[in-house]
Amino acid sequence: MKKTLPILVAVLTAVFILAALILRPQLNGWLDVVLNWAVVTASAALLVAVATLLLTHLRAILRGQRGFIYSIILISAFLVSFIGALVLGLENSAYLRWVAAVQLPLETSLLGLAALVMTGAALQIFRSRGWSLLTISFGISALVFLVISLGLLQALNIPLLSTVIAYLQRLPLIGARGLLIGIGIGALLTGLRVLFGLERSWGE
Amino acid sequence: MIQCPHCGKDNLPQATRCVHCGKDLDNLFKIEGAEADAGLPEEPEISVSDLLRTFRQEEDSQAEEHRPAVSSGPSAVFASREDTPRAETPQEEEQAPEWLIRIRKRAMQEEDAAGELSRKFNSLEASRSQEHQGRVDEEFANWIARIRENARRENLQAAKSAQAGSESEGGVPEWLRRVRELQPEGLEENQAVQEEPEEPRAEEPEQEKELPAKAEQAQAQEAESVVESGPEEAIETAEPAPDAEGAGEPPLSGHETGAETPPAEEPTESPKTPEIKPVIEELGLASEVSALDLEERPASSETLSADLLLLRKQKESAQILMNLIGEEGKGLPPAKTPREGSRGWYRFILGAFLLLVLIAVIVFVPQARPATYENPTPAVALKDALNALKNGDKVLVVQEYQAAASAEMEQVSAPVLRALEERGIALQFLTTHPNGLWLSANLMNAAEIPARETAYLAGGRLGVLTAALLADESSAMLPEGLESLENYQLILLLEDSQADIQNWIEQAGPWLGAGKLGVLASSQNAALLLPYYDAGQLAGYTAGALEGRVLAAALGQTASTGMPLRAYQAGLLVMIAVLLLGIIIKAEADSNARHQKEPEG
Amino acid sequence: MIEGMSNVDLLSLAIVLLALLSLGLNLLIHRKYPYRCLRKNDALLDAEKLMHAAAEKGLRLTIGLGANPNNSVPAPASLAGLPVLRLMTMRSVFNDRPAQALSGDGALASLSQLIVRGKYQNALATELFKPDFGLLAGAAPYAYLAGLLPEVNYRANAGVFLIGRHRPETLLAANLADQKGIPLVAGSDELSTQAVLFATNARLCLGEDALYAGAALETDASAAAALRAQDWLRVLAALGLLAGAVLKLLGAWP
Repeated sequence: MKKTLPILVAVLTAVFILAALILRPQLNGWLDVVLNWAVVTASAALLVAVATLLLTHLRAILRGQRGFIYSIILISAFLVSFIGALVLGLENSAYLRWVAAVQLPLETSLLGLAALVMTGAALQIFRSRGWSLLTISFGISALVFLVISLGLLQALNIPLLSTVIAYLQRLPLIGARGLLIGIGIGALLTGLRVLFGLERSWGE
Repeated sequence: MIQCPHCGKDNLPQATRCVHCGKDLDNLFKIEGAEADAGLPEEPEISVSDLLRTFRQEEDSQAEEHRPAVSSGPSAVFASREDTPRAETPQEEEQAPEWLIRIRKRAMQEEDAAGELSRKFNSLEASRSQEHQGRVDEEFANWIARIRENARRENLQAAKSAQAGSESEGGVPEWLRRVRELQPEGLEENQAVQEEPEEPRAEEPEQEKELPAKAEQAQAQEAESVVESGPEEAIETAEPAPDAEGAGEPPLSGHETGAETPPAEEPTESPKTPEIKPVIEELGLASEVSALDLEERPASSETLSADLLLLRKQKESAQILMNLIGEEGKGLPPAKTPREGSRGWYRFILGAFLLLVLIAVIVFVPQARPATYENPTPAVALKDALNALKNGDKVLVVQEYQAAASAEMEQVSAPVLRALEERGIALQFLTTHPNGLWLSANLMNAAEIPARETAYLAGGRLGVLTAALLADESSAMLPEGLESLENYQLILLLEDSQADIQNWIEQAGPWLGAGKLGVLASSQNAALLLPYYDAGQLAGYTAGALEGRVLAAALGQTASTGMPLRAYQAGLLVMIAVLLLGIIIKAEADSNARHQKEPEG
Repeated sequence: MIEGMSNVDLLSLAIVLLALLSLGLNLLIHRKYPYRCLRKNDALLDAEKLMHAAAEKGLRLTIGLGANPNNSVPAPASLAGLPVLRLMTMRSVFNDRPAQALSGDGALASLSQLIVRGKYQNALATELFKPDFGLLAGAAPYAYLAGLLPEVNYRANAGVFLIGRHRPETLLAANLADQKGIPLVAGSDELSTQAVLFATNARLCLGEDALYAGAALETDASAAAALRAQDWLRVLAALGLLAGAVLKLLGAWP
């Protein structure tokens, strides 16, 4: 029972959602309820996860584990943000500016770092992967699209060149569509496995 | 390779589960003889009388010089075991107590139910029921004593040789001589290895090599205990013996000694082998004996000691075990390419170069002129969709990008929002990310439009689905002020992530009319969006700062200065240069490698 | 026909039924030997080897399950790492260093806790379980990345798995693993992430292969059946595309 009940709930929910999407006008009220439950559950899961994270870092501080100073920073930042939002409210522009002033440079610098790392990886790609059909085509397409992204060729306004560039820009369509079809079918089959209680990655 | 007992296909020796049929392979570190008895109890269930009967048969056959073909292998062992309980007469059964009869019956009915104790007891009872019980016991005791005496003698010899500096007969230790006696072919290779002392060996590899050698030596010494007490004990005793450490000679692994090399043609049998063979057969190690016949018997007719019959499987298993123990706690080999010690310098130089170029461009190069050329088709389609909007139309602006992408996204979106605001189109802001609450304020500032509240839609994908399906039902989940999505002439998605774009296309798209979704995206999403546009699921899209500038110009706006275009282009140029450099370096390395090989060839 | 259903709805329903049929058939046909002659992703097979190596060497495995920017119910692609986590935890319950799971999403973090705890319960070793084994690294993609980096940098890592919904910035974690000489197995449904990770030493699950980790690791017979069904449907889709192209060329398709 302990194992079958969650599977049963998952199956019933999946079947209901599928049925509600087809028989929409009739089941709209119930669909709203089920979707609300799902959103509340997901939010509660986030709260649980955050609580676990905080407890883990609290334990690290209490035990004086190596690197506990980072745990102190994490918990302090969390408390300041949390209490700030509670006291000032999410509409408070000062609070929003304060959060932005912390988060924006942090995330931007991480992205900048990713750009630098990408430069290094570009140098290494052929060394690490060697010559193969995949790497050669990867290298050629990377070069072609980097050149197109510069926008210099387009600025020349040569009709023939523009046609060639327009054709090249449509080339990713083929690969992307293939990948998306594959991912779509994969997601569909995963959904069906959930629907019939076959997918139990989270079980046991 | 080991074979799966279920499907019969080959697996790696380390595998614990068959890669073909998925069933467990529990026979790691088992001895071949024991494998044959997989379904049998842990200790070989052989009565003493059977053992001696076989012994006597062997002696008789030796006397006749024409030994009859004795059935060997596991089948013979099974047969003898099955015969044992049947040998009991009805009278003896009557004499046995009732509880014993019950145990016997149960053991006969279900083999697994017969515990180890009861099986031993049964076998003991069976042996005692024989006519010549006393003589049997005496012979067995003599045999055991003889084997033990042999073992003691060998141990003493080994200890003596160790005390004497492990050297005899030209510096060759006793144990090595015995191994050489066994494997004369491997000897030559081995000597060749030993005769190269010029290159001092690293300490660690030496220690690692010692382990298998010790295991080998220990196995040699314990071979008799295999004979005495079955294969399981042999596994237990496969650990290196303490006295083996004094050998001090270059070690020999199974491979080095040529244990796996096929033997010379028609090997002759050593005189002692017939004595041991039936005993090993009886203990379920018959298959090992046949393996020895094929692989480990010496080409010469020199004498073989029973304790030197190293079983190949055992040796391999012990080797694996020793390697695993030796590797415990050590780091793994690198992923694909070996790590170089001084690899960080080029990263630093590249990074510094990129930064210098970007800074130089930002400081010294003037801003780019507004682009006048035509965008790709999807961006043109978006421009048309935006131009088709009339005064009073509602547009839902969905802001779903991360702070890191805000510079690029603001450059793309701000001119569009400004153009829409100037044309009197009602803009409503929505976000499904908590980040969006404060990023939208920055965006409105960048677009120079009046600040307004940004609604937060909780639930991500489910929230989008609810908004698409149930906006009319006044769902508690939907934020105040959000109308039915069908009421908006355009839903303009500001995105930097494939997942969020797909959320809207997959969850809301099917319920909205065609041409309702337009996307302003970061450049890396261009390839993803193309199939959706091609399928008619999007009204159009613009990806990246470059297309954004062209779109802004087409809408009569000037692009924001958040991300200097020249610096962006310079960054792309550096990337192109580095990619080409990578190709050149690889090509040169390959060329060098070829040149180095050619003279050798 | 149900009122209000368009042709697209009917086509979708037909595809769902077809998928269901092929899944059922594959379950039935291969019920005895579900993994025999199965197409398996090399990266996931390497993942299994890494699990063995980690157990043998007494080192730790780290898995990043991906992030979800809006912290909603995880998409199927977000669940891709869970079968790997399940097997990894099962094999590392009694290891010197148990496996470490990190998530960038609340629901995913809770699911990972559920799996890890369940595996310890199954092994009758709940006293060895710690909530730290399945952690929320951050509630936003960049926060997740920031939480992931120190765990990748952990000195006793035998390998790192990044399977689930990852953004291109995950390159930082992949590069760190490269620098530390830690083997990395990665699989994401995001096209740009796949492209970016191709420039590293990572073993990659391209396309939808990451969704079938349970099949490659032989822990889920239904995943194996789904993988076979997927191949059938892919062939059908290719034939459909070809037929559509031919019809359009002939002018029979508007």
